[in-house]
Amino acid sequence: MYYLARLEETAFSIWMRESEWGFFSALVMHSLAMGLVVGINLAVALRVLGMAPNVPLSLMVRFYPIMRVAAIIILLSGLLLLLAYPAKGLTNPVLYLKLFGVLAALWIARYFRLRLMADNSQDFVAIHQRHKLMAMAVIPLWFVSVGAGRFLAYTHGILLASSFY
Amino acid sequence: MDAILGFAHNTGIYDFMHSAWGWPLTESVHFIGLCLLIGSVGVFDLRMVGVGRGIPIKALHFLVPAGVLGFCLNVITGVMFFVSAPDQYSFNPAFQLKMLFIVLAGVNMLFFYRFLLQEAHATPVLNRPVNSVVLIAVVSMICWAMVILLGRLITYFRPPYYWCFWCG
Repeated sequence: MYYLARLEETAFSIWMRESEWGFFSALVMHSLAMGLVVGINLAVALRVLGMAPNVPLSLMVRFYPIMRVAAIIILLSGLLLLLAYPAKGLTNPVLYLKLFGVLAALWIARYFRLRLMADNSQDFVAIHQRHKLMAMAVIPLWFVSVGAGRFLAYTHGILLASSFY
Repeated sequence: MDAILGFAHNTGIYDFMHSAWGWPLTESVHFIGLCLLIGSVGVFDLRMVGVGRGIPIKALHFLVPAGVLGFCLNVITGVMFFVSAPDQYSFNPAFQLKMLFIVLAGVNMLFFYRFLLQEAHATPVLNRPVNSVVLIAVVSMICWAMVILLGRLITYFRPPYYWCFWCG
């Protein structure tokens, strides 16, 4: 807790909390990037589940670079948001639930890229039941991630560690 | 305002929204709806500006029902927010602008379906569509990005306001 308090008292952390646009800009970037990553992921999952069957699965990988850039923006903006209120986030189990959801969903996205999208021979063949189950799991995983992200704003036990010192 | 709040009370929406889980849960569904919209309309727009060449535009069109589902989720949850705190939304310039961009996105989409759908579908798989179709896609992406940005702004800027000329 002491180190979190020290972190909160750095000039950048104070600026993130108190400036007019610091926190808000990070929040907007986080939301836009989340929308892109979740949206593209859901599109891939829906394709694996059989929606839009004429879309060549291997070509959906062309949306991945955008998803990758958006994922980096999520990471960076997430770190900035965490830097503004480190104790609020790090002492809240909901943050770890969100991280679990994001990482698991991105792992499935990577798995699909390596196993289903690596070559065009699987573009229009019947998709294995296991892969369909994984695509189905993507939907609740993103719901958990998005939901946990929203609940983070409402469920913290500690707002600022520096209030204890 | 009283009539709207009365509706929220009578239907139980107000009590649900002001319960411990109501607001964040509804926000979560609202954002998932938006993600579904991006996953269908956004991916469709990206293809129209040239990302994902090789994918037939017509084939991507089959994702649109997911976008419609997302939009329905957004409308339902959006109404739940609005009727539970109408004064916080009605006079909020961020909300007013958000509605404007949703209408713009809708008009843009109607224009696309009325005049350019066939042209977009006829685009060879390895090509980028004609400029008018690209323009429609760019406008659509800007509109939805603004909807997200202004959605975040709603909670930041509440009356009185100093940053819009019509708020005075």
